[in-house]
Amino acid sequence: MKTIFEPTKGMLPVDTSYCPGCSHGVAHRIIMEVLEERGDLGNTIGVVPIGCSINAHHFMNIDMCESTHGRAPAIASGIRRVQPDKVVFTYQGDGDLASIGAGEIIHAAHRGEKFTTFFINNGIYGMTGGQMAPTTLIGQKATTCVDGRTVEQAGMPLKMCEIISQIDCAVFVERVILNNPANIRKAKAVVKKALEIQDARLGFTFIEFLSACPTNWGLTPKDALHFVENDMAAYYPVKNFKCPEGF
Amino acid sequence: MKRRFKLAFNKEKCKGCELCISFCPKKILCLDPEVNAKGYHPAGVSNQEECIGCQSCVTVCPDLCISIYELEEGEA
Repeated sequence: MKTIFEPTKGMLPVDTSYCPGCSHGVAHRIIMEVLEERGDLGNTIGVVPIGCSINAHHFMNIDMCESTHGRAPAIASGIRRVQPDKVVFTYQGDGDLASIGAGEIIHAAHRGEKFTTFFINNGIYGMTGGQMAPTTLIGQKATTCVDGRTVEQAGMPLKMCEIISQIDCAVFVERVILNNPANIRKAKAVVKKALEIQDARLGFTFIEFLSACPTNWGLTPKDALHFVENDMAAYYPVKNFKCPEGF
Repeated sequence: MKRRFKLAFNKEKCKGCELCISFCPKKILCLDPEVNAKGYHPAGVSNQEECIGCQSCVTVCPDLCISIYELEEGEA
């Protein structure tokens, strides 16, 4: 019997705390698969945020550091400076990165910190019960905008890739979508590329994953992926914003 | 000779999100009538012989519940 696919050693054999159909599991897996393929599971330090993925250090089989809300880029900056040979990344949700942590991520990018940020954008605060996030779409319902977000009341959703790509020292910025097997494989290739650019220490690298939160959106996992594909991708274009020459 | 595959499901890890079922191109996956310890109906395979080993199910599974093996000649 030949093995075609087995779960990566980068994920510990425990149950995750995520809801059924949550995209965090897929994002965790592709990042860990890339690290395992590179032989970097023992050579990586991850920084996890506050949010649903607060427990990621219980699931990822690498060295990890917990951070305060939104401050993962500040902690990863310090780790990078004292551990120049390691692979360093932050894993942050939109409630963490795009609101309370917006200052940290902008300045980490401006300093050209040589780590990679994986930004999980599901347009809602998951852990705290589905409140409106800066990334919630216009018309999308949340527990703090029960009739749907309006421009008059809350302005427009924040496009992080577009903001980060304006910064000179952010050398690699790409938005990917986790809605079907083909796009998940493409996202994995993008993770691999970002870590190669980090290896070259060219500057800050940033990947945004358009993700589903079926529980707080009130949709089935399958319908949530349709929402990601049809509604989220319409406002957040899935593309590469910036890539250094030769990669 | 037709390649044959074996799917192994970790029924206790599965949360019954049905994404593997939605993306299976051969439509050979289904939920079990029994529930697991977490209270979910876990995914399983109804027609193993039809599996083409495309790995769509393992790619979309958020909980790493599925493994795929290729059977050698004569193996059951």
